[in-house]
Amino acid sequence: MITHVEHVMGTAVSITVDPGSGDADAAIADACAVLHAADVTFSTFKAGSALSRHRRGELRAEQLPADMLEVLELSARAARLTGGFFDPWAMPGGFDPTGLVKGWAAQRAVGCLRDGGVAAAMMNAGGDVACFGPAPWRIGVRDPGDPERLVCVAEVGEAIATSGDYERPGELLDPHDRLPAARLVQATVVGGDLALADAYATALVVRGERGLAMVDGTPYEAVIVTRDGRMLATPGFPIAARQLSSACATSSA
Amino acid sequence: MRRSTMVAGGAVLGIAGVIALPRPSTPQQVAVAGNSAATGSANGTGSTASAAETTTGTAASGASTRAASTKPAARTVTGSLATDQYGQLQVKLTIRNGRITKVGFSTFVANDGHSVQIDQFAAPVLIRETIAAQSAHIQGVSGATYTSGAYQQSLQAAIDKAGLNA
Repeated sequence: MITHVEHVMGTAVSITVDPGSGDADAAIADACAVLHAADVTFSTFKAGSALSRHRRGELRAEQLPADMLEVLELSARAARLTGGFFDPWAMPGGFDPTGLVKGWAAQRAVGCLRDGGVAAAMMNAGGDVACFGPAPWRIGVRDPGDPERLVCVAEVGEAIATSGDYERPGELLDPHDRLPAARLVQATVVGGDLALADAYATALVVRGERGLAMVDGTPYEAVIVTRDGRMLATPGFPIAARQLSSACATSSA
Repeated sequence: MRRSTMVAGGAVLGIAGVIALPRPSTPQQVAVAGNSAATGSANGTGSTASAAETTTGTAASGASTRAASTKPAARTVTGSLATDQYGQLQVKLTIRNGRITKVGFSTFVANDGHSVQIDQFAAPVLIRETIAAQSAHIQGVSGATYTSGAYQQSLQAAIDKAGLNA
């Protein structure tokens, strides 16, 4: 395994690659280039970024970069799927897809690793993970109350995202009244696309326990930690059962 | 089908908790809670109710007292097909040493698209586990987005460090 850590998009992105017969260094370089390009295009801080120009209405539709169109489309899809509980258009400073871009970029960067011919790879973008390989990756879901502990371990084939406001209190807003809302301590969603998993996770935290209905019946699965300390999962959530069983055996021995 | 996914180990006590859900009776919860105990209004809920109640009792009253008198072989209890206004649900439990070791829905059919959501909202399993990360043999950690600075104190950083030093 090859490990690389890239500081980009305001966080640390950990990349773990099983090279197989592929050129891991070249693939990692390509993947990092994708992350940095997304950082430039979607920066809310840089006045000259494509996102800033779009927000100021300076770009006509035909001038929008292809990446911007893709993220706009993804944002609309995420807002629809979450019943408006994740809505990049309902942000204080206007359209702000930041919550989606990190997952979108990481998912695309993992595509680069795959195209680069490596056997398996996992990219952890600040707590949101996209991966692929012949076997699922074992990803711990952190305990929101203790960074040293996990609440469960998931077997993840494609993507897992977690939201909660304990790292940055007050950052999650209910799009309906634009006030801070964290009705769950934490929500974690597993599925095929990291950006949508992240959107679902954020929408769950904002919406609360009832939001499970919006995830279930989709190809995504969720596990949540409620404010009163309960932990609920949709029935298909890929819990690494062996780990839980052995933990039970240890505690009862 | 997807709904038949088994949940093992640590989820067990929680399942009983969900089946005997002592929460306010909202329409969303009636689908499962109603099947086991609360309303008894629908056809065919009898067997399912007794299976769920029996195992709930076992889990709640402490498995150790039951374990001695129960033979070690695993047995499977399948509730009868419960039908209510939302659809059909059949619970399947695996019991070993008096403890539920697996809980699943062997059948999960909803009447219409709306019911799917109601049933599935009622179906989530409750998990009771906290795992010490160092013993979990994990390859990554998912959590709320950390800053570049907070990363240094994260479990993911520790895992990366181990990988970088390998």
